[in-house]
Amino acid sequence: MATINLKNKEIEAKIVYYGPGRGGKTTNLEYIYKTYKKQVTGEMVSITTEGDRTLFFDFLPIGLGKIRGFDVRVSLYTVPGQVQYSSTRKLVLKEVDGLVFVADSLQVRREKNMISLKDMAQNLKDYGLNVFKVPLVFQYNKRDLAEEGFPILTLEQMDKDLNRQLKVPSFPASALKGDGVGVTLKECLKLTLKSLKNQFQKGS
Amino acid sequence: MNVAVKIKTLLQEAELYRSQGLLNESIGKYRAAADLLKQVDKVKNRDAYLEVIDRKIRAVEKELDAFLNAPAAPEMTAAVQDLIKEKFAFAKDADSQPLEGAIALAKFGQYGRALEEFRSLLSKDSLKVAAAKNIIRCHISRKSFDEGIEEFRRWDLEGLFSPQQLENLRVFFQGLLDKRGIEKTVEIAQSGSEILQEIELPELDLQLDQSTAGQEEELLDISSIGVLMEDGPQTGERVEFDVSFQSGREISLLILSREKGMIEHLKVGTKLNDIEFYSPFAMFKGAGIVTSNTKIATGPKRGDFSLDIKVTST
Repeated sequence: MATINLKNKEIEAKIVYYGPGRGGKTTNLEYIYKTYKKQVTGEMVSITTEGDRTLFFDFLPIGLGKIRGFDVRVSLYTVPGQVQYSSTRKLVLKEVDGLVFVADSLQVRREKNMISLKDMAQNLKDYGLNVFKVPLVFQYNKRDLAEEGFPILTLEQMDKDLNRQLKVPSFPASALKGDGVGVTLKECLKLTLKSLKNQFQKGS
Repeated sequence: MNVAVKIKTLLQEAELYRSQGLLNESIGKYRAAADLLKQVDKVKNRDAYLEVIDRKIRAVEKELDAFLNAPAAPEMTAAVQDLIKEKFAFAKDADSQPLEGAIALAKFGQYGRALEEFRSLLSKDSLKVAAAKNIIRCHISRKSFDEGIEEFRRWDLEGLFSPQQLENLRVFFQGLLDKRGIEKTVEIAQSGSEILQEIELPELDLQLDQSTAGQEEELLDISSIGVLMEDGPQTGERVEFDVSFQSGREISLLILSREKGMIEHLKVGTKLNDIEFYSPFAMFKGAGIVTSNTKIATGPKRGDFSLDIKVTST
């Protein structure tokens, strides 16, 4: 849950990048860390295995400057995607304010995308959150592999698999090249801040 | 598609998947390429090609083994542990934050650091029992059972806890050991009643402190319970139920309509004298009483039963 400090006029929010293993969650954060230097307010922390898979989480703090008089800071996290890290994924997801689901466009990962989405929805439910109500955007990553002749899912198929009921914004991307990374994050931030504003107005 | 082209494509996909870290997929494609190659009769140097593919499969399998057998939670640097402690303690009040930070460390498998943090909380009356239970849990998780029992003995000798608290901790610890089939015994050196017999107690005018009367000790989040059935079709069996909702010391269970036989024996007022409570981080024993037994009339769970239990002791 975001921290809103009225006295100091500060807002701190948490966005988590979720999705199946090796789908590009860490690559997203690495690109943001490398590219948006003005917004990055600290070092990126990556806790990985020897094979460079995320073991616990990645963490990247960013600052959006002043918005309506409030200093807005956002912590970006990724979760480990492999099946065996489910309890860690759940821990990292706690108190989330906004989500980016990074789906793998490779055909061979189709089922993993759906399993991961279901896992995310269940973990949210365990925290009393509804996947239909949490700010969420989809990123359909690895679109560049089509140029190399590899079988990837069409955007329509991915939307049908993952977004048929949720109907949230979705963006094609190639995180390795940086395509779609910024626009995905921007939309997630927009939805998250809007949601926080609504919650704050309801509560006051 | 020409067979040679198919095999080449499969091998390229195998390489791609390997480069992506999709090791199972990579092995699958290599094997498909090998199977296809075996079906083709007249291929020059076929055995050599099969040998190369086999070597690649073994290399990928080795990578996969290394990943699967890597330590689940290696001890991290102090800086990372500090980050975990800071970012995963969500308690609103400043008093509980150190405990939550320590619990977060334990949940991330950082038991060494978690133990240090929990031990530092043993000096705080409001947190010491929770800290002690988590110390026990850490010892169980890292299989340092003897160290845990030794630590418990030190608490006993140092008089860190009241006799009742110590007994609760003993039951908690012993329960965790028994559940795992660990044949070790947790003992209290001198029982509270023995200590009291040695002391001449003055006449005490026992009046409840009104400020604390009626307040109940908070329960950990319970994810499921195991009830030793004393009646009904499963008498003598320990039946597990998932907790669908918890509020303070009241827990709600969902019982499927097909378990109707059991439901009939869990009427309002039924005392459950032997319950094991499983939280994500601890297990403890206790008792409860059924306070509500309702058939769900609407919605996706229609026909199933909602059972409420009030936890009366732990």
